[in-house]
Amino acid sequence: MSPREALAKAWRNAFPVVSLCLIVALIVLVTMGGSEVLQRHVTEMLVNLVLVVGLYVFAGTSGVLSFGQMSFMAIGAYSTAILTIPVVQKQFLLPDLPGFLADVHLSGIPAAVAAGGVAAVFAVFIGLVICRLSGLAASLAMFAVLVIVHEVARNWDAVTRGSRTMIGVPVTVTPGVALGWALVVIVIAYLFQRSASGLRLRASREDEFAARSIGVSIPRERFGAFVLSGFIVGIGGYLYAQYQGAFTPNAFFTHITFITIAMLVIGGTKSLSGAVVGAIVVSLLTNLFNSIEDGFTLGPISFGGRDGLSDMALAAFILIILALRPEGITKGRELRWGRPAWLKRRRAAPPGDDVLPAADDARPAA
Amino acid sequence: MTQTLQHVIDAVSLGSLYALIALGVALIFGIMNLLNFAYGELIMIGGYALYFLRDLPFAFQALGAIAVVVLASVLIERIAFRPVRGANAAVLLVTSFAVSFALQSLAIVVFGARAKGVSLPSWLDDSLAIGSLRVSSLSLITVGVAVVVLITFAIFLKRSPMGIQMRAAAESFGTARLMGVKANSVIVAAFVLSALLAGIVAILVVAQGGTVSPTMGSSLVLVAFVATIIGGMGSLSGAALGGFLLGALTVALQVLLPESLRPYRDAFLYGAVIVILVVRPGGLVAVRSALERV
Amino acid sequence: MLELDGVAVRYGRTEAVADVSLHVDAGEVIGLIGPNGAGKSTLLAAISGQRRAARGTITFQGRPIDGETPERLVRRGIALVPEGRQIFATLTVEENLRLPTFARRDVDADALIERELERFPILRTYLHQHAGRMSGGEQQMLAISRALLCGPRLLMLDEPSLGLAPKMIDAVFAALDSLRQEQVTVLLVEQNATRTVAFADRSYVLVHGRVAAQGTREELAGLEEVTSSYLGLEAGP
Repeated sequence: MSPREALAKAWRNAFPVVSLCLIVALIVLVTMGGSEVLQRHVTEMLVNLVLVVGLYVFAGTSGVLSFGQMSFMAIGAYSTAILTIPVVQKQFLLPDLPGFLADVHLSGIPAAVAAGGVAAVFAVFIGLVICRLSGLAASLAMFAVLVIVHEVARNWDAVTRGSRTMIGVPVTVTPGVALGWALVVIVIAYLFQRSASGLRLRASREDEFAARSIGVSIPRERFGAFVLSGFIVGIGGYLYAQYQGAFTPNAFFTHITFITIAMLVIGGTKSLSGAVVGAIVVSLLTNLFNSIEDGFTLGPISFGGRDGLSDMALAAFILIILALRPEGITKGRELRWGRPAWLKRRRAAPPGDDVLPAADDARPAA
Repeated sequence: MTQTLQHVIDAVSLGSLYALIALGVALIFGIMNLLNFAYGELIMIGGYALYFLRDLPFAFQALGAIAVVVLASVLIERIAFRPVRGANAAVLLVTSFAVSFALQSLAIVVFGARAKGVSLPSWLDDSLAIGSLRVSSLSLITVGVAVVVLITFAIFLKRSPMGIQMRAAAESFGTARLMGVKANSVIVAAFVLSALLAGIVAILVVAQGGTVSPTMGSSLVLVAFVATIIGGMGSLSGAALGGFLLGALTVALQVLLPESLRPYRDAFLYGAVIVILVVRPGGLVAVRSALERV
Repeated sequence: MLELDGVAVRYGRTEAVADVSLHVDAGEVIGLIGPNGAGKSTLLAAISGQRRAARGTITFQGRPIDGETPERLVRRGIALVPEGRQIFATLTVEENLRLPTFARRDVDADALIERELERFPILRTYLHQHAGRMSGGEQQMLAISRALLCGPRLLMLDEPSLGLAPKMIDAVFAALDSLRQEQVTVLLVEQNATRTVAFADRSYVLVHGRVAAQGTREELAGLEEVTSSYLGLEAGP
C-alpha cells in the first residue's frame, strides 16, 4: 500500500472516533459562555455519556442487554467518596470505616482510576458468573445484581452511610473535566471495539453459532468487555460523585438504569456513535420536556412533579423509536468518512417485507 | 413446633402469592417471548384502582379494580406491544421496561410518589386461632385463592377452545396461525388472563401491606421473571412451581438469617437467584433448543 | 384457482425466489420439484401468508392474497402441511385435530374428526396421547389430517416424504391419491422428483428461484432438467 493509501485508510479508520470527539467537544465549547444552569446540563450530559459508553462497551458489543451495569456506577461513586473525602471529614461521616480505608486519600486522576479500578475488580467477580449465562438469563441476573448492590448500599451503614445521604464529596467536576473524561472514554471504547477481542465479540453478537464455529470463546470475550464496561461505568460513578457532591443509593437504581438504556437504544445499540448520539439527543429531549412541563393542566388533572412527566415523555419516545426504528438513530452504524448514503443515488429498495420473522418458532435466541 | 408450623404457613402463603405472579408472567412469555416488565405495574394499577374505589363496598371495589387492570392490560398490548410484535428479544425486553417505567412515572405524576393508605375489610387480614396457632386469615385466603385459580387455569387451558389455541400458540406460534388460530385473539386473551391474575394479586398485596405506592410492583416482578426461567421457558406449571419455591425461600431466609444480616434478606434471595440461574438447566434449556435449530 | 405471476420473495437481501409464474386449477395435483435451496419452501411460505412477496402477484380464486395473515388465508381456503410436519407435540392427537375446527363455523367438528380417523386409523390409537410420541410417518398422517380439517380448497404439502421410511412414503402417496379422488386441489413440493412427476398431473421444476421447466408427466418424463436439476448439474444464473 502506498503511503497515500495508508494515510487514507488511517483517516477512514480514525474518522468515527475523531468526529465523535469533535462533536462532543464542540457542544462544550459552544455552551461555554452560557448560564450556570446550562453548564450544569452540559456536565450532566457528559456524565451520562460516560455511563452510556460504558454500557455500550458490554451491552452494545455483545448484544447482551444488561439491566444492572449501573451497579458499577454505585461502586465507583461510593469508592470515590471513601477515597476523596478529606480524612478528617471522613472520620465524622463514616466513623466505622476500617483502618486502611479511613486513612486513604486520593484526588484527581488517581482517584478516578482507583474508583474505576474498584468497580472493575467487582466486575471481574460478577463477570465470572454472568458471562456464562445465556443472554436472557444474563440480563435478568444483572438486574438481580443491581438490586443486590442497591440493597447492600442501603444497609451497610459503615461504608455507605446506609440510606442516609453520602455528603462531603469534593466537587471538582466542571464541564471541562467531564469533557476530558468523556473523550478518554470514547477513545478507549473505540480502540476496544476495533481490537481483535471487540471484533470477535461483535461477531458473536450477530451470529453466535458462526462465531463459535471459528473458535470464538463467547464467555471469555464477554468477560473482557464486561470488566472494561465496569471500569468505564465506575469512572462515570466517580464523575457523578464529584459533580453532585452528595448522593443516596437511589441514584444508582432503576431511574438511571432506564435513562442509560434509553440513551443507548435510541441512539443505536450496536454502535459507539449510537451511544454518544443517544446521550446527546436524550439529554436535549429531557431538557426540552423539563422546560415544557413547568405546570400545565389537562382537564381535571393538573400535572406537577418534574421527574414524573419528563420520564413519561422519554418512555413514550423510546417506545416510538422501538416501533418505528428499532435499530436506533444511527441504525447501529458508525459515522463514516465519505458521502452520506442519502446523497448517493440508489436503486429504489424493493418492498420485500416479512410478515413474520425468519424463525417462526417462539423460542428465544439465547 | 408451633413456631415452625407458623413459618411453614408463611412460606406456603408467600409461595402461593409468588406462584400467581409467576403464572401471570409466564403466560405471556410462553406465547410471545415477552418478559413483561410492566406486569408489576399492572399490580400497581390494581392497587391504585382499589385506592380510587375505596368508598365502594368491597365487592364492587375488588371487581372494579380487576376490571381496571384488565382494561389497562389490553390497552398496553394494543398501544405498546403490538407495534413491536415479532421483534427480537432485546427490543421486546426494552419495550416492556419502557412501559413499566412510563407507568410508574404516570403514577407519580397523578398520585405522587408517596405511599397512600388503603384499608380493606378487616376479615381479609384477621388473626385467627386454630388450636395453638395464630394464623392470619390472609394466609389462608392467599393459599385458597391460589389453589382455586391454578386449578381453574389448568382446566381452562386443557379443555376450552381458547386454552387449546393458547397451548398450540405457545408451542409454535407460526404453525398455529397456519391452522387458523388468530394471532390477535390469542395474545389479547393472554393479556386478559394475566391481568386477571394481576388484579387478584393486587388485592392480596394491598390486604397485606395496607398501602399503595408507585414502586409496589417492581420488586415482585423480578421474582416472577426468575420463576419463569427456572421453571423452564414456557412451562406454566414450572413457573408456578418456581414462584412457589422462591416464596418459600424468602421466608426461609427471613427465618434462618442471623439478626444482623436480616436487612440483607433480599440481597441473599437474589444471590440465590443468580446461583439458580447459573446452576439450573433452565438456563441451559434455551441453549439446547437453540442448538437444535442448527 | 391459484395464480402466481412474476413472484419474487426475499430473505433479507437474498432473493430465494427470483421470478416464478405458475397456476393451479381446481381439482389438479401439481408437483413442484427442484434441488435444495431452489426456493420451493419459500414459495409455499409466500402463498400461505408467512412471507410477503417482494414482486409479482399471487391470486387465489380471483382475489389477490397480498399481505393477508396466515390465519385469514386459512379461512379463504389455503392450508399448508409444513416441512417437518410441525405437529404440536405437547398437545394430544385429538387436540391437534380439533384445533383447526375452532376457526370454522357451522361444522360438525366431531364428524369431521371421525372422518380423518377413518382415513388414518393409526391416529385413533394415539388419540388421547401426546402427539410427540408418534413416529415420523404417523406424525405426517396427523399433519395431513390436521390440514384437511381446515377445510381447504387448496392443500399444499412441503416435502411430506422427508425423512420417512419407504413404506411410510407409500402410505403418504396413497393418502394423496385418495385426496385426488375426493377432488381436493393439491400443490405438492417434493425432493423425490421422479415419483412426484409421475404422480402429479403437471409439475414445475424450480431451480435457483426460477421455473426451469414445466409440463405434464408425459412431457417431463425423462426430461433433461428433471434429472440434472435433481443431481444439481444445472448451470444456473
